Amino acid sequence: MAGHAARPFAPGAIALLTFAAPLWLAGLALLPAIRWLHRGGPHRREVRVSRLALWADAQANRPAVGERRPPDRAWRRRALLAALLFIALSGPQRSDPRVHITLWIDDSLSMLTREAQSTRLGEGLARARSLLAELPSADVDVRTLAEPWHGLGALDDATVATVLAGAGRHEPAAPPVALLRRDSQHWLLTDGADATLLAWAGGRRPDRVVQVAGVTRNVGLERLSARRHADDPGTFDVLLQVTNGGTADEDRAVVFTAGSLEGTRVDVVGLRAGTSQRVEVSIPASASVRAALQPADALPEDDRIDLDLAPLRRRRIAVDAGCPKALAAAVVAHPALVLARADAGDAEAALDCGTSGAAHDLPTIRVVAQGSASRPRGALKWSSAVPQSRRSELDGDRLRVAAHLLPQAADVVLLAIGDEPVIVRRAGAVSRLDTSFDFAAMAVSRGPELPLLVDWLFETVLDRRLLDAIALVDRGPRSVLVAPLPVVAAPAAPTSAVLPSSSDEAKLLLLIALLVLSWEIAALVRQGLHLRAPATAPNA
Amino acid sequence: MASTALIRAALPSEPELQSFARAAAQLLIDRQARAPGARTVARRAGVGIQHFDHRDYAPGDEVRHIDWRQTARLRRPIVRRFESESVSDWSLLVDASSSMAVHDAAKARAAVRMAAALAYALLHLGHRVEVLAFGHRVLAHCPRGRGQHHYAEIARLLAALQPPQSGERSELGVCARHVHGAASAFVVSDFLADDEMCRDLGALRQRCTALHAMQVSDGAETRLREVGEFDLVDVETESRLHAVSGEHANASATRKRAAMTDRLQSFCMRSGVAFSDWDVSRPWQATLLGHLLRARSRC
Repeated sequence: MAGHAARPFAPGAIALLTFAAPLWLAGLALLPAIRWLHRGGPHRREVRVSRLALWADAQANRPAVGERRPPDRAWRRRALLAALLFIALSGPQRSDPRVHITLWIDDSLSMLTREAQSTRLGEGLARARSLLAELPSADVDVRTLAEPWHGLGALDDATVATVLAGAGRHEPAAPPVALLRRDSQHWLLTDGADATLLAWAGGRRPDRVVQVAGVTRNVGLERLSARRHADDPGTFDVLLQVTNGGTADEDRAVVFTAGSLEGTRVDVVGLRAGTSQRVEVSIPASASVRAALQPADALPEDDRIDLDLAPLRRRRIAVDAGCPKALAAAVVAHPALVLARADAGDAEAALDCGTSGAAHDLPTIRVVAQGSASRPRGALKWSSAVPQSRRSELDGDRLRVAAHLLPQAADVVLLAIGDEPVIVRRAGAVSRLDTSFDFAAMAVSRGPELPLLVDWLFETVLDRRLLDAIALVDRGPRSVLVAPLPVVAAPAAPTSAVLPSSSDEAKLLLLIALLVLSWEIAALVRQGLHLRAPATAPNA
Repeated sequence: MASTALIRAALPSEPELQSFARAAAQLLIDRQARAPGARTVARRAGVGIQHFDHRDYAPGDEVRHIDWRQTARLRRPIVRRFESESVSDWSLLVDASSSMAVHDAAKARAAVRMAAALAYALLHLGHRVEVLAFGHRVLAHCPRGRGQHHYAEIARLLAALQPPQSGERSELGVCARHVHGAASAFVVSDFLADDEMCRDLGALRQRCTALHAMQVSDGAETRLREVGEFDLVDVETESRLHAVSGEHANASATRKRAAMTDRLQSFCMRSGVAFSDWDVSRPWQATLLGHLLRARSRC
């Protein structure tokens, strides 16, 4: 256990005032000087008369010999102005005697490691609750490192359930600097296995650390990926990365399960601490694959990993019977496409050559043919909406068109040859591409344009990459680390939190100072007018 | 010096002086028939050979005028006074204290102007005239003399007269030892001093044949142009008073000044001092002629 919590003020304590730059308060020492500068002196306006006895009745008062005049009353106003400015410059801040505590909870996967009684997270939450129970006036805000922007409120049963349910689902990170408010103490509940979670922004450190970690051995599945076999569309190549996140060498066996059938078993022997080992297997094409380590350890959550292979499935294309055979053959030859009948209900896209007559609500490629094939004139012009990496290398001499497309105002011409649009994206809710290419005529040249165009058209209409797709689950290299690192808390916690509203107090003081300054200016103007009056007034 | 130039410029011009001398000639001659055919002689003490009366000796009196017989009889020094001759001695005492310098030295200029005119007229009639400028001491003294050349000296003294801006009090008594018993004294002052200089006037009255008091006043000295709160500073004593200006203050000062004038006038009437109050806004010729006329009628 590291760090010490600040002893809170008693409930009902009065908020105190602190200063960000207290040296400015030394300027208040000038107030006596202001008073002294406004002191009354023996020298005042004099009028010389021939006989003083004549003016005995005009006497205002009779100061004693040596007595000074009373000070100019304006000194109070000016002293107030100076005092306000100095106090504003000193940055007054209200300090709140209540202790604000932000409890940061490390909800990484390693926190689910089974310890003696429960998981690390469970034990840590229980310990944190007992510590917070000693601070009844503390204002606690619970936040997880995986979702720091979502405040969970006080550490009650509901919060504990929420944290336990969401642990290990997202990769955590150190708290954002914007949430590391200086008016709050920051406690950290962690196992200390992930060093990146302890590197807080600006060199900040938690004011108190609740560290729960006993188990130091763990082997986990860090990453599982699959791709379609290059030569056999019915086979997936699977790559698994096994990592020893503990402090001792381990031996494990990995069992792959494709769909509902248990498949290959691979032994991983002599996996050294902190190292990884890759396991490659081929499995029959299926909807999912699971890899599991045997035997399981204290952190079973990382001993099993599931990968959804649905993104790697072949897309069924409803092909119009009137389509050229070369075009249908290109669809069949595509590794990610499967030819289906035009009325197939499970098709994911349609290829319409104008003979089916059926209106599809599927993404559709419509091949428009209005006459004989001709060689278009001009250079290929790709739309700026098509990224450079997605533009296929086509030989214009082997391209043929059999129709003239008329794009509407909302349509997008994706490819044109010269001034002739050849591929047009029609506006509408369902993705639809019209092309005027004559695929039958282009097949004669036996060039690569036909399969390239077929792949480009279906990737565009389905809006996904079809070739060499990879399915992947990656927990990250830190997900399997369980060995605790030493965590050091901040040396001294503040006794009270300072609200970040010092500028508000300063602004208020400056506003008052502005009012006093206006008062002073008005008084000076009035005095100036008063002094000018005798010079302009007629003599009595 | 600006104030010097101001005062020099304040001296009356030669035509003004001559005109005034002609007008005042009859008032400055001691023996004069009141009416054609009559022989009413106004007897006044002065410089002459006809015995007038006796009085107690005062320091400064000529020893040769002591009447030893009366002195032996009364057991105290008694001097003889003689009836004033048509040609006599005059002492012109001009206040040069700091109170005369306030408000652009308007009172000082007026005093200089009047003293110069009176000196010219007296010298024109053959009197001997001396001029003393006094503050808390005798600041300037032009000894007794006669003739138009003497007026030039007096004019130079008066032109150079510059009342200090502050700190110079009014002590009329310092002039007493310069005035001999057979002379007539003419004091031009604002009399802004403790007891309105009555004590000094009384003492001076005992030392001269006739005493004239011309109070110079300025309406500005009882009006405060400044508005607000300030310190009033007495230019003579430098004492201060924290005051607030206003109509009330001006009215009070005017009342106090009038009360001072009344007290001074009462004293002069009791003491046989010819007194006039002269607001400098009024012309000096009419003021001085009126004063001499009133003084003449009282004799």
